[in-house]
Amino acid sequence: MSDNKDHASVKQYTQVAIILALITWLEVVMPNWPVQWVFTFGLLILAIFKFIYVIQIFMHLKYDNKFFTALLLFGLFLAVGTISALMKIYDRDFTLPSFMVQSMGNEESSKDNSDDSNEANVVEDCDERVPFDIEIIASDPMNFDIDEIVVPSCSTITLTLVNDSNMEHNFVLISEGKGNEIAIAAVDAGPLNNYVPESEDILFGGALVKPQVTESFTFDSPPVGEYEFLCTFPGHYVFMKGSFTVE
Amino acid sequence: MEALKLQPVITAFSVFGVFVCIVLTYYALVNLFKSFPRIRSKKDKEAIMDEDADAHHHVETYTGEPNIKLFWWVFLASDCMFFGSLITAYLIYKGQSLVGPYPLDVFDMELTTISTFILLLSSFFMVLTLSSIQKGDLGKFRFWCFSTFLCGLTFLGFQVYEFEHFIHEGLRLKTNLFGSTFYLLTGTHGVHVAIGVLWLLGMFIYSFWGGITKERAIEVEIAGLYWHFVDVVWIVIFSVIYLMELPIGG
Repeated sequence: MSDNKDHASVKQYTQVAIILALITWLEVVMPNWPVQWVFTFGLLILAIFKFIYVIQIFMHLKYDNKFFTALLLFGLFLAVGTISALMKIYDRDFTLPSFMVQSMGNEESSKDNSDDSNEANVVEDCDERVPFDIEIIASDPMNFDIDEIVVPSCSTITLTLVNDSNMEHNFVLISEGKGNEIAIAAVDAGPLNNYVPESEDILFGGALVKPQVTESFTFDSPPVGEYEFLCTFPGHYVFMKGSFTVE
Repeated sequence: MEALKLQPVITAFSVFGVFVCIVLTYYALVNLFKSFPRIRSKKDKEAIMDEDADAHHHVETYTGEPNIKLFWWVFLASDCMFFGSLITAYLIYKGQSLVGPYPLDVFDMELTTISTFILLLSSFFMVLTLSSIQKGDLGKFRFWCFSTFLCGLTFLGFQVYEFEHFIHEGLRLKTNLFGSTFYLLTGTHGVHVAIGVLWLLGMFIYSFWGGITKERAIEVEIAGLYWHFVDVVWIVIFSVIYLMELPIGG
């Protein structure tokens, strides 16, 4: 049993252990490279490398009866089949890179939660801005108390969202006629993004407000024109929307 | 749409695979029972033991391999599926939690990296454990076996500390989808490690009773297989759960 033909030598084991440690170190420092695909693919490949190294050398599949390799592969194969089937059933993207890309995006924006809002990306150039307060109450079942908001141009709007319901709500200001599109995209954006998808049509996307909580958001008014507001929590758009006018 | 059409093929292939595995497991079990010595009387027992001593490495099985090893490989293969489903559950509900704490709020990467290194190190020690008993060096065997045991115990300690820290941060099994799937997956892995740690301790103590010998290195080998498998599973969990959460360019 102890001859080197059947098993790797202690020296080889040591080498493999060092390689494994190096790979792990690489995995941990890799996020410092700011290239997305290097990170996602690199992680995947390095993990597979480690996996193969351990089962081939440490579990000596390389030197053992190939029947054992076949057995493990069957298990692995079934596991992959199970994963792919479940991902499909639950309608998750099985192409791992894009899935990871999406999740990375989620994490970054979740860090912004402390700001409580995403910055308005379209604002009017004004020399001076006047403050303007709006209060909007969300109540059960899926209801905003107003469906029409009129604000003066060149104002800094302080919007107070009173959530008097048992669900989470948010306030999102968008270009006119884009409600459906945004509401559908919001489902994919997910709760970590406050259900605010990335879109040029979004002028202001507020954070989700928890049940029975009141929160205020501040943003600058967009240029004079007609806009829409809505709650992008999945399903709420049907009832919770209204017109937003800047004059 | 292309992927949807592949669905029946994948399902059929999986069902086929399941049947193959059932057949293999059946044969493995039948062999296992066949190879058990039929012990009726003390005399028989002695006769069988004599026989055993003569032909220890030439036990006749269908596969030509010790059945206990076959059994453990079948078990590990099935464990792949078990962990596969738990990892899928985590991935499916990833980013779907409605309330915090979210992964990045609670993860302590340095801590987990250290515990990962320790588990990797224990795998290396396990290899040395097996290597020394195959050479018949009982002293070295005890040393490496106990080192492996200590590493496993340290890993468990890290996990207990981590769980306690998470619960302190407000993440419980019922808090959100992240909590449920995370605790289920890492907890199941932790149970595997705990069983391995007990196994290693058992072997260590058993070696003082003369239970571990060069001829019975197979016992250590299967313990090693199990231990390495636990390590391999952690490699996947560490990549999928922890590393993927890291913000890029940080």
